[in-house]
Parts: sequence; C-alpha cells; structure tokens
Amino acid sequence: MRRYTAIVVGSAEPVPGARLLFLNCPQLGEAACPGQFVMIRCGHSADPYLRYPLAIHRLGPQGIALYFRPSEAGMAWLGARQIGDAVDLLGPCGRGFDLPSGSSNLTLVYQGMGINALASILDRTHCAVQIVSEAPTPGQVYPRELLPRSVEFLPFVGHEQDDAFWQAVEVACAWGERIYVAGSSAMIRRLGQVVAKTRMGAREGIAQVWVMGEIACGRGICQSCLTETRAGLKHACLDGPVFDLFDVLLD
Amino acid sequence: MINCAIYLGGGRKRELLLSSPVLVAAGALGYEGFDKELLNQGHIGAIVTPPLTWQPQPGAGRPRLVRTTAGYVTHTGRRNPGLRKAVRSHARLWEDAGVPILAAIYGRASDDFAEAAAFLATAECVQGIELHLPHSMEAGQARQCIEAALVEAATPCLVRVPFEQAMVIAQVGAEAGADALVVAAPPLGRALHEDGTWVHGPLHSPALAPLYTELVHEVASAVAVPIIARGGIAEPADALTLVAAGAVAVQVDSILLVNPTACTEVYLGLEREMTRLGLSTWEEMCTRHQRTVG
Repeated sequence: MRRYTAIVVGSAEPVPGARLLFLNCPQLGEAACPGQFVMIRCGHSADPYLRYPLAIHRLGPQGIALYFRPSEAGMAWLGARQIGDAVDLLGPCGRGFDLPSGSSNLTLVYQGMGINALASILDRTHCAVQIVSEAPTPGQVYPRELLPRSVEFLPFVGHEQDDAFWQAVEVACAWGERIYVAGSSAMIRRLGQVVAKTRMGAREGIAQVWVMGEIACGRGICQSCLTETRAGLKHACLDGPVFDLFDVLLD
Repeated sequence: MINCAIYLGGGRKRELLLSSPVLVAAGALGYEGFDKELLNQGHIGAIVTPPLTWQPQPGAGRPRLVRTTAGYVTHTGRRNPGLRKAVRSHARLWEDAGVPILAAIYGRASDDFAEAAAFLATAECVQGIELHLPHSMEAGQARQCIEAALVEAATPCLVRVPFEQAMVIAQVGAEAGADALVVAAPPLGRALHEDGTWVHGPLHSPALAPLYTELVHEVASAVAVPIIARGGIAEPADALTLVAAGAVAVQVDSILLVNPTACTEVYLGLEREMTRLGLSTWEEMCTRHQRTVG
C-alpha cells in the first residue's frame, strides 16, 4: 500500500444520484487488483476526520475509476471534485478476487451499487462474463454502455422481478465456473443456497463475496471492520474485503 | 536530525532512551503496522503496542465505530490475544522494529499489573511498559495497581492517565514512582450508530487538542515527572503547543489512521523549528518553549 495524489480527469453521473469519478494515477492502476479498495481523504480539514473506503470500480494503465453515491459528508465532498482536482488516496488495500488464469465462464451477481466492487473484474479477465443485477428502480440500473459489449448483462428491477432475478441467478450460477457477488447479507445467504444447489453441494473455491464492513483505517489497525468467518474474526480491510462465499458468516 | 536523548527509568534494570520526542501512541499502528514504506523509524522515539491484558479478550461485537463531527467514537473491547501470546507472536517483529517497543498493559486489579510487569521483566523485545487504568478507577486502587507494576518492572514504567481524572491519577502516579506520565487517554464518548445501537468508547478528535493542552499544563504545574503528551496531535504546531504546556515528548495517535506519515511530518516540523531558533538539543527546545510561553 502506498499514498498517492490522484488527479480527477473525468466525472459523470451515469445514473441519478451516483457519481463516476476517473482518477489519473498510473502506478495505482497498475498495482491494483479487482476487488481491492482505496482509502480516501475527503477534504482538507479535520472534518470528516477519518478516510473513507471505496471499492476500485475500474482500473487501467492510466489509473482507476470510483463509483459511489455522494450521500454522506465525505462522499459528497468527493462527488463535488472537478477535473484537475487532487485526491489523496491510500491503496491498493485489501485482498482482491481470485481470477482464473485460463478461460472460464464468470458470473457476477450484485444488488444496488454492488457493481462498484465487481466491474474491475472486467478489466483483468478475458473470460466470458455474465452479470445478473437487481436495482430498486429503473433509474438505478447501471448503464449497459459502460460495460464491454461481450458481457451479457441481465438487469432486474424492483421486488416484482424478484422471482425472475433469482431464476436468472440460478441459471447464471450453473453456467459460471466462478461466481463473484456483492450485495446485502440476505442476498448473499440466499446465493449460498443457490450455489450449493447448482453445484450439488460442492463449496470451496467456487464463489467469492465482497464484504466491506465498516472499514476505518484500511490497514488492520483499528479493528472496526472485523468480520466473522469460519476461521474466526478477520479484518475485512486486510484479509478481505473479498471472502469465500462459504467462509463468511453474515449477520 | 533532532539531537534528542530522553532517558526514562534510571535505576531500573533496563533504562529507556528515546532518541526522538515523537512516539506512536498505544495501538495507533496495531501489532504489525510497521510499514516501512510509510514509517521512518529514525523519526520515532518508541512505539506503544495496543492495550494488552493478561488473559485474551474476544473483543466487542459490531458496531465498533461511529464517525462523528471531526472525529470518531470506537469500541473494540480491547480485543487482544493476551499478553503472553502477543509477546510470543510478535517478539521477532518487535526486536527488528528498529524502535523501542513499549507494551501497553490494561488491567482492573493490582494482580493484573503485577503479573504483566513480572512477565515483561523477562521479555527482551519490550523496552518499557505503559500502564492503562480504567477511566473510573478510584485513586487508592490506582495507586495499588501502579505500585504493583513498579515492584515487578525491570523496564521504565509509564502511566497513561485517564482524561476524566487526569490530575488525580497523575499525582498518584508521580507519588508511586512512575517514570513518566502519558497525558492523557482519550475521553469516553457515546455515539449512535445508524443501526440504532450505541457505540461507547474512546472519542478521538483533533478538536480536543486544547483540552489535552489544558491537562498537560495542569499536570506539569503539579508534578515533577516527565510528561509525554497524547491527544489532538495532527501537525507539528500541535506538538509544539504541548511542549510549551510542559511535555517533553508527544505520542501521535489517531492521525496515523488518516495520515500514515504523520510521525515523520511532526518530527520534521519540530526539526525545522529547532533550526529556525538555532537550538542544538531537544532539551534546549523544551526549555526555550516552556519559558517563552510562561
């Protein structure tokens, strides 16, 4: 992990109420892996005091992109950055996704803003990818045009499409040799049942889940992000935020 | 380089030399956060471990942290593997740290501190002890705890005084023979987590700096024991203020979560100030600052 000063080179609002920020920081773009995150100092004063953790949404040779809702104070500050502004980052933090080295089918499943942690997989793989997502409203569906054409994208909206979503998840989990997940505890629990069913009970090394928890330092110091796993408490910021789906014990 | 030589614990089997007035406060780097990319050991006088208890502590459940205006409240339940296991697990790392390691010991009774100090007397990887007392411990019991540790200690023994009764415990510590006082532990705060539960524990904030300065000033006026200031230090100016109030060294704490190079920045700022004033030793710097402010 290193400290970087990244420069904002692009900013967009791909869906209402969400920001997509492109940061020029070639060393970080090269060093980071999908699933890792950065710790951002949001502002130049003592308030907010702690850094904010944010998943690396996309990564490439020129830097990284971040995708977030500017809801609380720190994120609002970040969302207001303009092209040319500097952002103080620590990163890359944590353990990222294990991606297959050969050709495989990859299934990505997420709810809400979970694409912010999963999309970087697309930047480090040549595998066939299917994405199944669930958004609360049509306006919150991640724009198809921001994903590579080769990716199969199946967005579902609202509770009325819940059954269809889970049917698609089941099909996608049977298709994918590896499965990557970001969403609520309830969704992750149910997905565990789906994976166990589609793999006839096989568990290890099939599916990984992204669990951010309440990361405050990003370096295993403050203990605020301790997450229960089958192997005991683990730091989401060091041992995660990527865990095996069947190792993590959710609330 | 700051020409600094603060000796603590003269008369004990092993004396401690702080070659920098900038220390890392208890737990501010965790057990293994000695990241050489982010930490310049030459700028650090000592590193204090996270608080250790004689028996392992499982720690608190979630939530453990709430962000507050210009700060945060945290409650970890002092999760730690127990003193003996912590020392066994980290002995090599601490020996190789290139900086003296002080073990922070938390206890509730004099036996806790006696056992811990006796065990640490044989641990070569630890060069000092920092005693952490419960915030609400009454003076008589605090004296017993400090004395119990001092009887067994082979290394210098620092007493970190609780914010809420800094003056009382500082006087107790000084009378009991503590080698230095750390002024002060963060105050206890309470904040409501978004899930509707309380987080009750230390409040960390640079906004508290003037309160810590007041405590250091009060304690320095009342006792003749070296004072290491802790709390509210984010920049060199904060450290200088605390030196002016009577501290001989400072501990950098939560700012390290935000700015991992804060120790170096504080150190270099102090060095620049000494150069500006034409002073050659840290002792002169302390004397000059304390006299200037009056």
